[in-house]
Amino acid sequence: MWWFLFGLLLGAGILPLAFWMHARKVRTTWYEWIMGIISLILIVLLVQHFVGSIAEEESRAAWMAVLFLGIPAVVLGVLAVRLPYQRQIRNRA
Amino acid sequence: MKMHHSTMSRRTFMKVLGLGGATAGAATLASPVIFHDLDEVMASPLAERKLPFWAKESDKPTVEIDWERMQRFDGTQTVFNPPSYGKAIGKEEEERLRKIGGLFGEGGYGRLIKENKPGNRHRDFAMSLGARFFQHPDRYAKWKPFLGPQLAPTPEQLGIPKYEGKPEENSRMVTAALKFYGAATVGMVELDENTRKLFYAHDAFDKKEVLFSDVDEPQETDTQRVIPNKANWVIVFSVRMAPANIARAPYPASQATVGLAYAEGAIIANRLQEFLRALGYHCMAESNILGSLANSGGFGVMAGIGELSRLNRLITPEYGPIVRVFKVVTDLPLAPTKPINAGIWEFCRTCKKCAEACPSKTLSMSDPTWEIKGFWNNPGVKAYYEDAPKCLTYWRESGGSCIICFAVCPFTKQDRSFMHAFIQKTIATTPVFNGMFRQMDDAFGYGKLKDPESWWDLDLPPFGYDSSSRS
Repeated sequence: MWWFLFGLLLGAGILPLAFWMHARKVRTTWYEWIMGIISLILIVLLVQHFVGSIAEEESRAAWMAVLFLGIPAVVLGVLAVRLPYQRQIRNRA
Repeated sequence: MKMHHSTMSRRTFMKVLGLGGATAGAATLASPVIFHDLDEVMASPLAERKLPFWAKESDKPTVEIDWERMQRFDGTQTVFNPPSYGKAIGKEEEERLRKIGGLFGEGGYGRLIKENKPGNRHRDFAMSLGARFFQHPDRYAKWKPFLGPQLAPTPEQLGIPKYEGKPEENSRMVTAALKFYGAATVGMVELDENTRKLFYAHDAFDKKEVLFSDVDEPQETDTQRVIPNKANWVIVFSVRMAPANIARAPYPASQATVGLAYAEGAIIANRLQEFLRALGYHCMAESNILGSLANSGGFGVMAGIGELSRLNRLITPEYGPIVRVFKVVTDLPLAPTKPINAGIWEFCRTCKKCAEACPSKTLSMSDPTWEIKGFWNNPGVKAYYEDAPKCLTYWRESGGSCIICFAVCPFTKQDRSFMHAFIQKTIATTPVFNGMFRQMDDAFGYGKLKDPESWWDLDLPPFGYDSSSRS
């Protein structure tokens, strides 16, 4: 049930983003898409592991995953957003 | 979709998260009722009871009650009491219904089984009869667990032929019934001259001799238990223990789930005995569930319930070591299940976490060996033989039991995180990562024993485990 709602929200978030990028003529490369998708997958896995670990009374395991999954997810996510953004600024200039 | 039952209260959840203090402040601000601290909130009846969000408490029940008109009722007048039923419908009608079988009459079962209609077949009634074992505790004052309660009507008593099915069908049928009765996993072993060696020569507790003989019926005397040679199949089943209790080893909470699983296993075996008796077959169980008939680990390995481990006990792929294993012998032909390889035996070679955590240093730190530790081991298996007397000495000295080895085992995991299944799959196929996984298990804090006091704040499902998952 919760994962279904999570999927709906994710879809509802990604679709407007795609429309927005199209409208603003933001150009992306294939590897930026891959970085974004991997970042998203890592975040989903992190949420699942974190909530699951807390339910298992394993708080250390939950927070360790923030280190192992969360940091790479943030790095990849930032790159996936930052690279096209910078390219657009350069093009405008 | 799996529905997970919440296994902890909000209080424990916040504690686990490390946010207990912050919540106390938030709860005080948000709540219209004044509580002085979080303990007071949690001690209130409102916090103790969890209702679905659409149900609310009310001062009066929804049904109208007039306490002035009501008196204490005579229980003999309830209609499920046969004389009261006769009084209600009249003698003539009662006699007519008795002749055609009635709701609970054995004649009724026999007639319906002969008709063999879907949902009313022999196995359906047998399954129901097995489930009813101990429904009326006063009828079971004394029976021999080896032979079973023997209260379910046999096909002979019902005037019908015994159940006949192909071994594969029988295995499926027994597995379905056993799982309904409470077993977690089920396997079958066909006996031969090798696997018969897994039976004890003498009962561990009352010292009765365990014999196989060319007899038609199983027998029990003051000195012997006789298994007919035609009883050539062993049914092995596991019963789960509660992960949250095992994590509180070596305290009584952990002993409680061990005891509950043993007791439940004994009752499940009795249910199975009644089920098979109603089908027309013999089923012999253990007179003492602590292992008086045969070696649990041995039969568990042969039936593919799990693999032998450094614990010198069974580790299952589904629930790790936190199960109890039971076995019964039957003459119902069954299709055997094969042994398994989930990478557990190989993982134990590098892990050693249980042996390191063992407070009495009972468990082996060496590689598997043919050399036994003492007279308490049966040779013939290249195993991690344990120095068992040390374990029992620790129990005696500590005033309880232990089970720390089960609690710290890396296979003792619930399935709430995706990571466990992913790692178990890798362990099963790629042993080169076993050392790294052991290191990760420590780094992630798994196997740390939990505060026994916090057990009372958990909101556990029945028996302490979620039967729809590994949690």
